[in-house]
Amino acid sequence: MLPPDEELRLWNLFKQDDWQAYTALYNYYFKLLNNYGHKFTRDVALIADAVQDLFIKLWTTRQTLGNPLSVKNYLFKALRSIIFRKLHVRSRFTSVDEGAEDFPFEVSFDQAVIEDEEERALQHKMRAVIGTLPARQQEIVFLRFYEGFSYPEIADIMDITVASTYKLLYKALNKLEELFKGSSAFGSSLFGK
Amino acid sequence: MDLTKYASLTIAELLEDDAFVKSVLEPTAESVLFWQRVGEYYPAQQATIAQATWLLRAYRTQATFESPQQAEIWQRIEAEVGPAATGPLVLPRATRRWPRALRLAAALVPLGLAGSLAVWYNQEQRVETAFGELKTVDLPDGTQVVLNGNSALTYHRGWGQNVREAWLQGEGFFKVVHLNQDSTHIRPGERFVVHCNNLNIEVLGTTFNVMNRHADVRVGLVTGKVRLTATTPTGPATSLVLAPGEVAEYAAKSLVLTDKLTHPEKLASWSKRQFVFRNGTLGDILKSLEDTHGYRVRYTHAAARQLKIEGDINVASVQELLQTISTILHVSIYQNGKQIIVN
Repeated sequence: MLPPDEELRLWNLFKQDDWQAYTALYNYYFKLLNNYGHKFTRDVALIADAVQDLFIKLWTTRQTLGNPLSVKNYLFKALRSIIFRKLHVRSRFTSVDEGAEDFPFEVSFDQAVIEDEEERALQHKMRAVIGTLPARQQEIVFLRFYEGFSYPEIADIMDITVASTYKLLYKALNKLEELFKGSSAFGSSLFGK
Repeated sequence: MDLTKYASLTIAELLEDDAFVKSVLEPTAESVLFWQRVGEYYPAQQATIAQATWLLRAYRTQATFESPQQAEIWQRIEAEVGPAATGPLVLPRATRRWPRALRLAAALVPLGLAGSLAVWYNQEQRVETAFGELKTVDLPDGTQVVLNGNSALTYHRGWGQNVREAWLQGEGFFKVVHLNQDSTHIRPGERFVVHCNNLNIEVLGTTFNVMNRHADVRVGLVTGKVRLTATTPTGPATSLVLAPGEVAEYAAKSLVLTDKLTHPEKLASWSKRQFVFRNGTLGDILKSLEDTHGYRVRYTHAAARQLKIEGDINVASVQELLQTISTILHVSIYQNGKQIIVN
């Protein structure tokens, strides 16, 4: 991951028309942004278009941009809104439902091989629980535990209040905590590993 | 950090805690030690910490989507807002023809693919421009070089893990892709070296202009940092580090700083087909027309070469340049095809 001061240095250079800093930002964030986009849709062409739109807009508006909480947070927020707009346009043509849309959010897990039977069962249950969470809760879990964003950053990306962020995450965490009810897994064996 | 707040936290509460999440996502020696201490102080918390850690790690065993289109999308972005697209003229792109070795490789695939590939990888690439022609060369690492007229760039097709090297005759504007992420550990493949006669220009990732004509090399830096090293067969190597805006010259075996520009980006103005000169003499200005556009200049009075134009000239064509000079210096300039006569 890009250290925060390096990220800020590139961002400031980029705002002063530095094409190279802009190129570096693209190269650093391309993979993360595509991976995030892929959670909303499996339409790879739509994600590619969204990433392209995002960076073109970034360059053309560079002189009016301020200093975001973090560059990564800004890029995630911008990509999310572009993808939602594209999904919304498409759903108008494919869906008869009017009104509130809730775009899906889905992570796919690795085919990890786990020796320990108890741990394997627990892993299986954890994945199942994640799969049952509402899309927005899943998204918060992803932004927090996969991307490591802070609460204010997540609130900004998802356009909700910090209080709702806490509340939604807490709901998800309670369900995950229940996995261990009646289980003595990892008394201390895994600790520090 | 205060330990007491972790005396009786649940799994969910631990996962809400910024410090805890950070220590699992990006552990440091210090943070690992801290959580060990929490476990020692509050043995009842050991299982909770272990379970929360496990949950985080188990959740992160995810399949990541890797788009294969990174270069392709970048090309589309560049075509729309890139520096070449914003210039006054669209630069002719270097055409990417299949190297002969590759065409041969296709024909000989069953015979020896590996051998043919080796030929392809080591094949020397040479890009040349005619007088008055500009070419943009895309190097294998994504670095772009705009070649001015009457210039040549040589490099090897497959750079891989080796130092990125190129040889320049004439003039080129380099936009070197920065591959290095840790300046204390620079791998060979992250260096980029431009060779001009006995002068090596070593960079990590920057933009700079190089002119190598008439046994005189001038290097002007726009962004980043470069190191110039002059090697002579006999004496010791001399070396100079340039900061943005600085211009250095290597001629007659000496390497010196010659200028500090307030607008270094103007060094690249020729790559947008603009003629930009600052405080130049008539001789210098017309010399560049000879070098890059193939004009021949004759002076009826040799002293006219020393006439100086104070300030900046910034024009878009040869025609306009000659008119401007003639007006400012009160000299008559006749142009007949590629002949220029100064009275």
